[in-house]
Amino acid sequence: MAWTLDDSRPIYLQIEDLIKANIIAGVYQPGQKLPSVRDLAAEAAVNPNTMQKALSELERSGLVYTQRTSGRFITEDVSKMTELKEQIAREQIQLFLKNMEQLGLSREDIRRLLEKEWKEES
Amino acid sequence: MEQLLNCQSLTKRYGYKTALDSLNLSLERGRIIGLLGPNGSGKTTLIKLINGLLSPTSGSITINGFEPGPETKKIVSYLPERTYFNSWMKVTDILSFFSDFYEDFDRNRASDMLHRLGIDETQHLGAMSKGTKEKVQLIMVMSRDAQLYCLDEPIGGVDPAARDYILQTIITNYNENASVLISTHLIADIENVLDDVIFIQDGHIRLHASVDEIRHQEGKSVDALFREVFRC
Amino acid sequence: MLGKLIKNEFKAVNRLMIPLHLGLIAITIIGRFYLQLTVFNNPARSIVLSQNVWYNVLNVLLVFFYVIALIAAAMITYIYLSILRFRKNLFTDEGYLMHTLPVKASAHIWSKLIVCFIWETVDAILVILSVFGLFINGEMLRVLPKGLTVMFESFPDAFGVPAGLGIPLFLLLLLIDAVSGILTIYMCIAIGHSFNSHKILASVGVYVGVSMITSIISMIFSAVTGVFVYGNSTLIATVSDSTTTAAVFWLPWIFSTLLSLITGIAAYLLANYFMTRRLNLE
Repeated sequence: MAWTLDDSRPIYLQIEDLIKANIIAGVYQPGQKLPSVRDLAAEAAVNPNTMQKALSELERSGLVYTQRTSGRFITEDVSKMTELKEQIAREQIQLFLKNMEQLGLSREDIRRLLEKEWKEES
Repeated sequence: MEQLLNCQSLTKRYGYKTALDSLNLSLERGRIIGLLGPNGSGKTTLIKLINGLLSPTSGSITINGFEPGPETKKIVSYLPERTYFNSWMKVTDILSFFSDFYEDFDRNRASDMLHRLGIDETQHLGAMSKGTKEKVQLIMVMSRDAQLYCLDEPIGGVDPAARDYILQTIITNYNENASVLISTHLIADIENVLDDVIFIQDGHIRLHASVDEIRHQEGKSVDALFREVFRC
Repeated sequence: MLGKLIKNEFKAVNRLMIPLHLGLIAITIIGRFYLQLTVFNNPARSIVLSQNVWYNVLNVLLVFFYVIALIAAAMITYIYLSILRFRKNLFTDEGYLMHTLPVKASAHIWSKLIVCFIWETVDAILVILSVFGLFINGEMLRVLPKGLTVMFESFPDAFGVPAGLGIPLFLLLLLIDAVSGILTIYMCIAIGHSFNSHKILASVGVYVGVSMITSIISMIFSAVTGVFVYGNSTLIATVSDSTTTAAVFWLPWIFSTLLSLITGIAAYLLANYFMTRRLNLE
C-alpha cells in the first residue's frame, strides 16, 4: 500500500514527516531495525533516492542511526523522542493559536474555552 | 565516469516533419527520469534513436561514449510501446532467447518474477492476454543488469494493479549505476518514483529539473506544472 | 553471436519448413504406392484400366496436383524465407527486438542468408528426389548410366568444355546466382524500409529498378558478343551449332559469374549500410 502523499511539498519532506509520525505513534519502536531503503521505497511507492534522502535527514536529526554493517535503527535515546514529541506538539499548538487568532479570540478567550472543554470531557 | 547519455544538437526529421529539433540532453547514472510530453512531442523518437532503431538526421547521440551499435545495445534495455514476441513462442523460449543474446540477463530473477505473478513458463504467448504479455516483456527487460533502461509508455493502457506492479518492479530493480528513462503522458501515476523530469514539446526540451526542485520552487506537483506548461 | 542467430532462425523457420517438406515426402510416398499398385506391378491390369475414362481423368488430376504441390513447396520456401521472414523479423514489430540485440547488422544478414540458402538447397534436392522417387523403376535404373555417359560425351559438343569442368562450373554459377538473388531481395527490403511511408511499394520499386539494370547490362553483353547469358535467375543455356568452341562457354560464364558476384557484393554492402545507418522502424 503506497503511503499517502500530497502534491505541494517535496516528497522527501513528506516521507520524513510520515516516518516521524510513525515513530511517535510507536509503529516503529525505539531500537527497532528499519527495512532497507529499497524495501521502504517499494512500500511507499517512491523513488529509492528520495527515501534515501528522507532517511539521511532523519539521521541528521538523530532519530535514526546507522550501524555500518547491519542497517538502520530507530534511536533508543528517549530524550530524542521527547524532543521530537515536543517539537511536533509545539508546531501543532502554534497552528492552533494561529487559527484561533483568525477567529478573533483573545488569549483569555482561548484559555476559558479550553478549560470548559476539559471539564466537559472529564 | 563517462556520462551515461549525451545528445548534441540531435535532430530527426521524417520528410518535412521535424520530430526532434537540435536537442541537447545529458543524463547521469543512478536516476529515474520521466520523459514527459503530449502525444507526438518526440518522446518515442528520442527513445528509438537511443536504441538505434532510427538514425539521426543530424547531430550526435552517445551512450557511455559510444554511438548506438552493438556496444551500446549490450548496456541498454528497451521496452517498446508494442509487443514484439511471436505468439508461437513459449515463455521458456523467450527466456532462452534473452539468455542467448544478453550477457547481463539474469534468468533466475526473471523466473522469480514470473513465478510471483503466477505466469506458467510453459505457456504460449498466444494464449495470454495483452496485459500479461506486456508484463512478460517488462520482466524480460527489467531482468537485465543494464546501465540504461528505456521504457516507452510502460503504464499506458494497463489497469491500476498492473501499473502498481510495474512501478514496484522499477523501484525494486533500481541500482545506483543505472538510470531508468520512462516516457509517459500519465504523470500523476509515476511522479513519486521519479528523480528528474524532462518536459518535451514539439521536439524541444522545455524543462529538465529534479522533482524536488520543482516542488520547492513552484510549490506544486510536477503533474500540476505539466498541465500549466502544456495547457491547450 | 552469429551461431546463436542461426540457431534461433532455424528454430523459427523450421516450424513451417519441416511440416512443408514432410508433406512433400508424404505425397511422394503415397504417389509411389499408387503407381506401384496400378502401373508398375501390374502392366496387364494397367492396360485394361487405361481403357477407363475415369481412371485417366483421375490420373491427370493426380499428376496435376502433384506438380502443383511441388511448385507450391518450392515457391513457399523461396517466398517465405527470402522475402517474408526477412521483412517480418527485421522490419516489423519483431524488428524492435532483433535490432536491439547486441549484434551487427551484418550478422543478421548472414544468419538469414545461411538459413535461407540451406533450406532452399534442401528444398531443391527434395524436389528432385521426389520426382525420381515417384517414377524410377528397374528399367530406368538400367538405362540411366548409359544415358549419363551419352550426356557427358556430347557435353563438349554442346557447350565447348568437357562435362567434368562444365558441370561443376555451372553449379558454382548457380550457387553464386542463388546467393546473389537472395541478397538482392534483402537489399531491396532494407532500402524500401528506410522510406518513411509506402515501404513495401518502395521495396518492390527498388527490385524492379535493380532487375532492369541487370537485364540491360546482360542485353548489352548479348548484343555485343552474340551469346546468351546464364544466371540472374533466368539461366538460359546456349545450345549452338556444331561450331561450338570453348569461348562460347567461357565468355558468358565469366560474364554471368562476374555480374552475379558484383550484384551480390553490392547488395550485401547496401543492405548492411541501410540496416546500420538508415534503419527507420516505425
